[in-house]
Amino acid sequence: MWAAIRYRRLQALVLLALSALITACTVLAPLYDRAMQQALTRLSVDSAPTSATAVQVRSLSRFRFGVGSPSYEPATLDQLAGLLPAADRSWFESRIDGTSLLVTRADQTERSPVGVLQWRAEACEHVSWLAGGCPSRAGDIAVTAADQKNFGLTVGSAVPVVELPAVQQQGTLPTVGLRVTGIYRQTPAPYWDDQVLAGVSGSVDTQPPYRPAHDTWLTAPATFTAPRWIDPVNSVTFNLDRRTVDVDRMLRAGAMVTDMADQSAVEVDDLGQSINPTGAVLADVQSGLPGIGSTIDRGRRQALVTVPLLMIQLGLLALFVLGLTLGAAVEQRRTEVAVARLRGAGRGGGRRLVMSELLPVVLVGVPVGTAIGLGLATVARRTVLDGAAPFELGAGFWLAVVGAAVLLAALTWAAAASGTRDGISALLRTVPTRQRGWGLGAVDAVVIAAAGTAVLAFATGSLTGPLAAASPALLALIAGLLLAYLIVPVATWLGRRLTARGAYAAALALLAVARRPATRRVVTVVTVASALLVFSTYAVSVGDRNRQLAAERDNGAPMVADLTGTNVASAAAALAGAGGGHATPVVRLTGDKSFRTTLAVDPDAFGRVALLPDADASAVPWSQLRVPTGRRLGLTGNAISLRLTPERFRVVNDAAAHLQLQLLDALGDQKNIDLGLIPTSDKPATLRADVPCQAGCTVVQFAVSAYYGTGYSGRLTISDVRVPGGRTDLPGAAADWRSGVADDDRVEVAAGAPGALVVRMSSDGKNQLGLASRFFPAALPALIVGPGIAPAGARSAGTVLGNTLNGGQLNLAGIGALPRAPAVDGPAAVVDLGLLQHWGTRVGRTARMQAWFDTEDPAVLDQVRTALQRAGIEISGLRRVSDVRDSYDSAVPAWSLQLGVLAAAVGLLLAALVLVLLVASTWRRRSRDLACLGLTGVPRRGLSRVAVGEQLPIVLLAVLVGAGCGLLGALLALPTVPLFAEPRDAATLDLSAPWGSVLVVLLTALLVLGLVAWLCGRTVAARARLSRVREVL
Amino acid sequence: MTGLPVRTERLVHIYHTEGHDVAALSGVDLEVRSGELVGLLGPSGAGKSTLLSLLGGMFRPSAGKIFLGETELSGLAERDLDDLRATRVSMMLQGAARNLVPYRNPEQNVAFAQRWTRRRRSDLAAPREILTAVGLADHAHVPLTALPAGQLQLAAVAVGLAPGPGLLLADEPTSQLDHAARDTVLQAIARANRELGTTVLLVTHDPAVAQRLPRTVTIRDGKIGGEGRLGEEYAVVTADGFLPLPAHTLPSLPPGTLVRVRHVPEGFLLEVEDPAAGGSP
Repeated sequence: MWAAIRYRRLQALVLLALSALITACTVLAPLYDRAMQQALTRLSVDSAPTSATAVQVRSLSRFRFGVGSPSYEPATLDQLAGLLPAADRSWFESRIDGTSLLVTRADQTERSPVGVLQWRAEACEHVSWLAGGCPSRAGDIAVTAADQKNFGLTVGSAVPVVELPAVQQQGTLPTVGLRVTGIYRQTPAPYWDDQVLAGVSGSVDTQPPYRPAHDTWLTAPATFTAPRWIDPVNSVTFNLDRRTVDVDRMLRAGAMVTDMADQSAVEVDDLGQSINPTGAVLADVQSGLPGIGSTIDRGRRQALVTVPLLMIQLGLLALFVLGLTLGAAVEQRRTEVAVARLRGAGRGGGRRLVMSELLPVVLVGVPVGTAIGLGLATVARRTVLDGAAPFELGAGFWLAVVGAAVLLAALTWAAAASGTRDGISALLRTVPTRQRGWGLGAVDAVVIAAAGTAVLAFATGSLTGPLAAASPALLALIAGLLLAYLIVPVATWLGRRLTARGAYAAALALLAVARRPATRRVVTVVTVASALLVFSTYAVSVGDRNRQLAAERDNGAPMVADLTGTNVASAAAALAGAGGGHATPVVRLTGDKSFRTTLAVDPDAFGRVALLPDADASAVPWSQLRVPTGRRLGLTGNAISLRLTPERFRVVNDAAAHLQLQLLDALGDQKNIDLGLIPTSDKPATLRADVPCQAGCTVVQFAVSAYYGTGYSGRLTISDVRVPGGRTDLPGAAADWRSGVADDDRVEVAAGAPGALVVRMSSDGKNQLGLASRFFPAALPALIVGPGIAPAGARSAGTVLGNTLNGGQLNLAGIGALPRAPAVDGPAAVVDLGLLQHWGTRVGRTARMQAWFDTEDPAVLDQVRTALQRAGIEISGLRRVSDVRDSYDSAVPAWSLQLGVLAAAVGLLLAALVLVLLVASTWRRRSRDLACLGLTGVPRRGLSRVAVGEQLPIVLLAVLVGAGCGLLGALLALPTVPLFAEPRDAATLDLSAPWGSVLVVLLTALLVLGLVAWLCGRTVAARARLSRVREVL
Repeated sequence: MTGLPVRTERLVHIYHTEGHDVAALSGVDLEVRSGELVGLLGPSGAGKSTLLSLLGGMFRPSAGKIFLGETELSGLAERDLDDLRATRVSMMLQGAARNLVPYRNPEQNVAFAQRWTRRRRSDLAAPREILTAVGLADHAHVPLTALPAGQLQLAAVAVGLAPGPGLLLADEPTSQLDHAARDTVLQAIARANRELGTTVLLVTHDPAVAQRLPRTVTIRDGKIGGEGRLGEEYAVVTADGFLPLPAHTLPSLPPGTLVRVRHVPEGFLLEVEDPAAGGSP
């Protein structure tokens, strides 16, 4: 056996390499898949709050089925704990028992705080003591420092309390005496399951009884043992033991929690009465484990799409290559088989002879490949998966090893059986009998038909599953086989033409191409390998590009910082002088789902800083967001008086109409000041009112207020405006006010005498008519995302409702559309922050102040942070594009696509190995043929050209055809590939061809395979010595 | 193992090729006695190698029968043919290299050839003995690539004799050899025939070789064309009474020539009738 292996050592090496490669890929697939699942599990668990990975079981209120229902007794702690299956206890750390209820001071005054009285096992070990110590006896409590301050609770204080059960009780509840033994501060720890004990002390509840809240009071278990409480709630918490968590456990944990919830769920009849069996343990089961399990399961399913998509194709190629390689190896042994058959070996003996030579080599590749697969998996775990997955050899691994061994052995057996089936005389032929001329073999025809059907079915969407995943490879297989058959007649025809022209070297090469069976093998393998290479590159590049685009869309800028504070003006001023112009202020106004998210920005800087992957930032009309406005009309003081002179001012039915002054105070809050009744007698009147403008106000408008539908018209002259002790720009010039006509309303302003303003107005009373300051645009120019923009050619811009910084409403006028706003998912508007500040500079609850950076440079961040801190503003949160990108990269879709890199590399390697192997199997014959040509006078250089020309052109042609198939396959298959863990809007995905990457791998394939083909040809030519003509062995 | 007698009855073999069929043998009746050394002569394409292949069970005849001892070949199953090749019939293909496994030395090749025989018989000679018998013991462990053509052919003979066959079928064993090598190979075959009693059928083109064989059979146009015994040439009457004339007489006796067979005291006399005279010559 060793002599036989040594005799064809290069072939044996290639076989071993192929076998190892196939085994490595077979082994790597389940290892990587499992590692991905484990990494996903680890990331999901690590990023989840403690409470999400815990199972908390709480008893139901005694009054769950109404007052006086005797049938239900709340579950005890042990009963609650018993809901968790004993077999699954090991997944969790030791259980944490607790009991709690709501109490208030017994005096029940307005100042009597309401809050939770809680016992939680070992709580005292997870707090620090500011004074006193742990409650240990019945009635002992520990309170927070805030409670101490707000309610005067000190160590030793007696606190008589009564229970506040969920349902109001008849009669007076017993008073229970509590005594403060300690002042605690909660120590952050997983033990608390995200429960916050402090922070509400002194805040008034928005629900009855409108009393101040106290923080959680910790007590001893004995407090709850005496039967003086009506409705305490027992709870048992099982915290997941995160150190031992794995994917199998997490997938089962979700089902376990669901079972627990089902088992303890309340079942009621039509009257709301429990129909649970007597003694049933009813409980509220809370856990985030089912959700985490679903996330992991979704990731697992996504891997089931991408991993087969890449690995099945690689497997197809590998099997095809191995089949060819074994076929060539068996063919080379036909003479030896014939000798054995002559000595009585029989067909089985011949097959065994071949098997005895090939099978050991192939099987040696299994452990080698297993080691390689393990090594690759280890590298992948440490690099791609960031070490988040443990090393494990599960059932899938062993199945893959055994499967690879069996598959390789079966393929070897099949090749040996096929190659030794012929009779002795056929075996003795130097070249096996083949069909003459050009024609499609029956097997190839069947393969092409089956593969074509699969590709067609996939393209029409009626094929799913593993066969669908193999479609790109099948497409390449069809092209490769057809190309292989087309090459024979074309090369023959071309060879003859060149012969006639005297181009003998090229002609001989082409005729050799047509003559050798190896041609078809090379063409098919190289085509499929190139297709796989291009397809994998396409998939990896598209995934990479979309993750980057998504990260840019989601973050909006290279770096975004959330800022504390509420004054935009001071934040903008701080940012203006910091960070070398790399940062710009942005206010993000958000609301519920129906709200159009608004970004208030500095247009020039925003156009430079914002990442707009869906639009050409330079084509966006940023400058149009700014429009000229009138001057600001200020008012500073506590009161205002003015002289109002009506002229033919009439109100329908002589109803009353008031003149109002709308102001924005220094904080941006709108104030409506009623100046008084508008006289209808054409007699001047002096109107007076107090104004909250000590710190300065901005005048928004004069408005006429009347009942809805009460029309009015006439002329008003406003003059002699005074602000005692203060100052004002009122009444201003005519140019400071906006005239306008809308529907049945009309307001016109005209210049009057100096210091007077003449206003003509008429209204049907359906809208409040006002004389608005030009300082406020009638509608704020906005770039609109989503519905709301006026159609092209419309006479007026569309208007949509927007918000001021502090939550007031205003009109937005669409000046242009954006396909998508940075960092906003859904309808949005982008407006000028400067203009928006006319309505006030203080941001409200729905607004978030941010600084957007055009760089991730930490030095810039430090500069900006320092400048902001000088203005009293802190950075409360920071998001970088690279961080967002990392989060997308650390997900199953990205991880599984990384296999594409391996598939591409292995595909290229396989094709190169086939080229080497076919030369290793046929070099003697080819060298002898070339030597015979040498005898006829062809010079060595010519022989070299023939040898190289026999392979190089068809290899390059096959690479190009394969690349085309890879592109087409990617177009077909990529829409089925999940690129993100959470499905995204298909419109945001960019599946266009990554031409740069494709071109690079195409050139690489041309270069590598071309070089291998050239070297093979040169090697064969170099061995074509004349003495080889007489070689018999 | 004693020599295996060979008998063929109206043996016909037709090669089926695209477009037309070619009759390689068309009614060969041949009998070789146990332990005989017979040379098969004849021009290229006459059917010598086909006959040898049929006797070796490599092909099945289109018609007729082949008896090796009492065994009729055409009815044997593939497995029985394997048995036959493993134990009783050995074939040496034309070209020494085709009989040998290239990466094994002569001794290993003999052992390789005995592998399938050993499973069926235990009375095999050791490879070394066989190599000694053919005169190649000194080169038992020399790689085949280092052996000259004559010794390579001796290795092929050794491989042929390895199973201790009752019948050795040798196709052109002396072609492309110089005289010395040729004689050595012939001696080796003759010694096996003489000392082991192996029946030998040997195809040759070489008249010098034919002269040294006790019996030769000439195949011509797929039929037995004559026999030579100890240098004397004979025509052979076929089973259905035909008598093929020796090849050298054919130019003088064109087709249509009338021949009278006359019984004379010494035997039978063939008289050619002169068509012009209309009577005897």
